Amino acid sequence: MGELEIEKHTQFIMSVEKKKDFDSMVMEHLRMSGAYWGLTTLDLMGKLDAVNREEVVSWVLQCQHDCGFSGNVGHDPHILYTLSAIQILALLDKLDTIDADKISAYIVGLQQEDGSFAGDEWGEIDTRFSYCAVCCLSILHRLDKIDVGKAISYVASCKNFDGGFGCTPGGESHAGQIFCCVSAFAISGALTHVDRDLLGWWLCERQVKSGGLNGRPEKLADVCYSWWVLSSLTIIERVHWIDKEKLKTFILDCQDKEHGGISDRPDDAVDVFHTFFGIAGLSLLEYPGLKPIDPAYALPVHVVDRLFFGQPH
Amino acid sequence: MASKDDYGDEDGVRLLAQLEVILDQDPLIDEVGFVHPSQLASFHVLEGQDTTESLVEDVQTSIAGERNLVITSEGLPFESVGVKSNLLLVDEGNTESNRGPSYDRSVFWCGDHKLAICIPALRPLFKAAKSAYLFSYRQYRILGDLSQNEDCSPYLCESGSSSETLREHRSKMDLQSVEAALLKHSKVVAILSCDYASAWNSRKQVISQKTIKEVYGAELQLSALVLSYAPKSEQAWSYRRWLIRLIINVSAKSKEPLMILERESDFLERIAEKSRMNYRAWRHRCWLVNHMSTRQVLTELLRTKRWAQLHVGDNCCFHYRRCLLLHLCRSKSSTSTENKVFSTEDFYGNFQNDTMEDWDEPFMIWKDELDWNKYLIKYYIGREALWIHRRFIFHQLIQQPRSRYSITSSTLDSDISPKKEAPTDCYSYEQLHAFLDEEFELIDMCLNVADTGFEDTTQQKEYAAMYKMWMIMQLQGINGSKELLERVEKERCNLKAMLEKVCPQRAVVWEGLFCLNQCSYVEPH
Repeated sequence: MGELEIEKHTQFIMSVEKKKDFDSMVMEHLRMSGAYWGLTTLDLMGKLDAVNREEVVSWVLQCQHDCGFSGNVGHDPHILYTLSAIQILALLDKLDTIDADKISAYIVGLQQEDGSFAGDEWGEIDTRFSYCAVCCLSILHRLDKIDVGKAISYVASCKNFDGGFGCTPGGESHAGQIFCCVSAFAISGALTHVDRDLLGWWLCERQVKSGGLNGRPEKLADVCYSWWVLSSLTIIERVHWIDKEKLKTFILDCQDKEHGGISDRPDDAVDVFHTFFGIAGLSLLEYPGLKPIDPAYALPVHVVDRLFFGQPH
Repeated sequence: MASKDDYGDEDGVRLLAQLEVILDQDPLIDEVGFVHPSQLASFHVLEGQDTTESLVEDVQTSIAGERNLVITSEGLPFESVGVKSNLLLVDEGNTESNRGPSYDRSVFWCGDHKLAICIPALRPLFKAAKSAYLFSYRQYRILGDLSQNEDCSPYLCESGSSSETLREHRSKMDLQSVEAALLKHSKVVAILSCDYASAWNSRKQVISQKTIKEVYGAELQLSALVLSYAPKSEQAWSYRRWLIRLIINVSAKSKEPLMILERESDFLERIAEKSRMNYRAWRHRCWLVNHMSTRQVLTELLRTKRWAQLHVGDNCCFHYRRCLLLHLCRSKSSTSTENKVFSTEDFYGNFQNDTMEDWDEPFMIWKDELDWNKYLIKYYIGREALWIHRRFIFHQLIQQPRSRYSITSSTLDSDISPKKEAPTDCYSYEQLHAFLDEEFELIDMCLNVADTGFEDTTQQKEYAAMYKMWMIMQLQGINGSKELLERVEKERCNLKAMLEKVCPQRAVVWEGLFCLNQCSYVEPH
């Protein structure tokens, strides 16, 4: 029960690339995020060398449009994949291959009057996109290009009575949205907007009997919330409000020890999304053999250190 | 015809053409599913049988019994399969034109506005659809650029009716046929790969140039079709919102938006039934509240009251009610009079309330919700969603001015009597303490619920304990009289004993929240 199968998970991630079945085909529009999940997981496990970096960078750059990045070659750009692309380039230390001013201009163009961010030219608003904007620009050292005050006050307007955050003002509190909002505050130095006790309480109530975490009341535990809840708790310094050992056991139980990969809950089908969030969660829980991960940037700490304390680009 | 497991690229092109004809011939298709070949075969068997009732029942039962009938992430059963199809589609070779298009029966089944596609054919279908879509999109872009860059002198075209260049005329014809191809192919891409955003975006580019209402209706239909098998599809929901915004902008003064909202409500209730606690669906429903009239908000409150009682564990529904109630309170505090024209029966349904004449005060709205919630908590033991709802209502009530003409005062209760102006704000001193008495009584009742040996009684106790914690936390945050603060402090000090008994695993949390090891309250001897 107790061990993390690093070798198996490495093999699983490398094999995902090669799949050509229908289920893989209908995921091709989000390949950029899939690549970010896979590559970051490999790095956390110390296995990033298994990958051909030049090939990855060259593909990422093919997804660059005049404005932002798309999820795959020939698809439309979107702020979600722009963040994933920037995160991948940061991970591989290849941020010098892009025009940071151009990317910044794209993101600035997506900010609305009320401080919120649209995902693309078609105008859907969501606090996830606020996080994408803030995180991306921070990595590019250009956070000052947007109206940060308005961006933050919009996110703050999505705060609910329970201390949580939704996708828009009045939206139901959801652990994923909470991660986005809390991280956006953290990156912008605006954590005063969070009621740490109230939110910490809501977050620790996500832990269910099995030790796993759910994303909202009455829902089942899911490994991906091991990241979103745990990283939020880490940022607001309330991780000790959950039972870490039980959570660790739950994540390890979600492994497919034979074929590699991690699933949403024990004995379900694995995928790279849950593999990333399971490993990232274990990293936050300081599981031995994993590199530490930054809870706000969702990148290995050594990458974030390099960005902010290494040579600036 | 025996089904194949391995289809080639030419098959894909052939099947794409057939699928597009099916979709074109039946624009009312409202449900699609991807099924195993054997299941597809059984649909055809059902349809073709000159059936005895028992045979129909047998087959229907065996189909209904298979939870994985349709291979979707939701595991939704395929509805309405049966012999009542009056849209029988024919064997290949039968050319009766009023019977519909011919198609490969080992790949497709269509009847009753339902469409099934066999799983092995999906990959080649998608390949062909994607290829066709990309090609038509490139053509659309080229033509679009061309028509913008034209520099032609005008002369009468062949029809003689308008002055446009021949090239413009030809270009318009080409554009129309390219648009049609783009819409046809992107539809299949969107159906097969529901979150292929670019396909939906292409449709936005075309549709935003149209103003015919039927077009919008067809697009809403497409979104609904995708949601029938992928109720969590972000693109399908986002497209729906984009369309509704467009419709509202284009037909603001007409009754169209209100009708759309009513139909959306029906649609969303069906989705809520099939796909429990679907965040995206309920998010969409909350978004619609911004566009609702007060009458619609009240209708929604009635509908969801009935629905919530059948789904007491559905936190999303209660959150939706909170959105509706908040919206109502905000509109109450304005001076609009549009909401006066319905009976109190309309509003309360089965739950009569003695003080109905006060109902139009926000305070009473919350009080009624609280009373209803108490009924549910007593009847449905150990449901988290009910207690979360109560936390919210409590939070609202202790801040709510009693009357819309209230003086806003931060003092919750006052021992200065009586105020010169008519109704005072919030609870009076006696009322607040009476209210707290009732709440504590409910908590004690739930803490003492008889153990059944099932999880629900343990949970009920834990939720009751957490609710008490919540009350203390909220009350600590308000400006109260000396008596109130003393009462709150006393309750806070009693928390530890209760929490140790009911949920010792949360000791770290309540210690962090309340510093329960430090108690200044000393019980008077």
